[in-house]
Amino acid sequence: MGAAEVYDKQETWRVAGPDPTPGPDQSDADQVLVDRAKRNDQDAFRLLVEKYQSRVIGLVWGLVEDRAAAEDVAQEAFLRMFVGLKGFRGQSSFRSWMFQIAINAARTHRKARGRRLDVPSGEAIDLDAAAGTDRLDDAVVARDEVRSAMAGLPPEMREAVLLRDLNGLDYREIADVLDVPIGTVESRIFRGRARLRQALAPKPATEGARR
Amino acid sequence: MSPHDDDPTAFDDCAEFVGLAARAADGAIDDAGRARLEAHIDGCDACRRAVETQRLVHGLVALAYDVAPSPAFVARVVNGVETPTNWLDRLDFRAWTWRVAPVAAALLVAAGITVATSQVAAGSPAPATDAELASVSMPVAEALTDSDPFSDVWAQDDEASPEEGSR
Repeated sequence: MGAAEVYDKQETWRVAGPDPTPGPDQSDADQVLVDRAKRNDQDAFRLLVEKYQSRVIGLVWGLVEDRAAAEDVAQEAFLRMFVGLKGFRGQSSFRSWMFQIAINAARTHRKARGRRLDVPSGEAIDLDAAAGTDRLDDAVVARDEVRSAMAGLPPEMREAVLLRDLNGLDYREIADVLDVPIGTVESRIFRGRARLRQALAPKPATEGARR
Repeated sequence: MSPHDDDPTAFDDCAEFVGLAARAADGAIDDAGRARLEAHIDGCDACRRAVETQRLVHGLVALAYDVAPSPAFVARVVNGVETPTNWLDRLDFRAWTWRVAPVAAALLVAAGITVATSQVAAGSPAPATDAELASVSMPVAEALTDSDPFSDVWAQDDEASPEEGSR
């Protein structure tokens, strides 16, 4: 292994992707829509739903582990958002508030119905393409495997990981949404990812399979 | 806890890098944190692997839950919202309930004070009316005249004691 190759390996992690946290312009745009929606402007409400539907459904899906139920719970969350909109004073960002409502709706759903796992759909993703690494021997893993691994995490870790890795909230926002110290958020995200990686590691071949 | 709890060959003095490792993987690390972590990782392979793991999983989660909502989702949500259609609904009585609550409370207190005051007044004798005064046997004018009740006594004293000059 040459020196240049070592350098490239180091750069792999040093050059981290951009922080997906949207800037103030995004929050301002939300605020304009929120103000209009508060005045029963249905178009503004529709725009807010269109903007956040994917992230809210994805978040809820990760928490309730059921794709079909995720849309129902997300719908419930949006309706709760609309009802509560007049009381929203903007002390936190709209998206933090929206995701907090979605998490509460998902928690309610989980309590009411218990856990149900998705039926695997067989979709696959290439880990090398996703993460630019060759550390996994079998570089292709089903999306369902990731979701099954996620289902094995404690809910508090799952919430933190999804809010960061899927929805792009910054660590401070996550701490506010989950009402925990920022150090707890860092720890939950770190441990959650580490557990996911362990769950996704290629299983060692059995003795019988080797023969 | 350290970034490499699963590695028994690693040292335990890496706990302070848990947060930095998580942040380095998703780009939420500042320059000072990055410098600290890089300095540490140059001599700690276990932490280097931990950061790579973090980065790998960070990318996977977003892909696993990349959702294409059903086309009717937005319409379903918007239709589920009951927007006010008539003037009665537009008045938004829920909001008005909170707005007028202090006024209503003040009116209640004022009414209570008024009732209490009138009850206290009912316990003391009411002023006599003209008819009641007229029915009293003693003539009102006489009864109310500021006459001197000892005028007779003074008159007798005057008769019994002659003027000093007459002595």
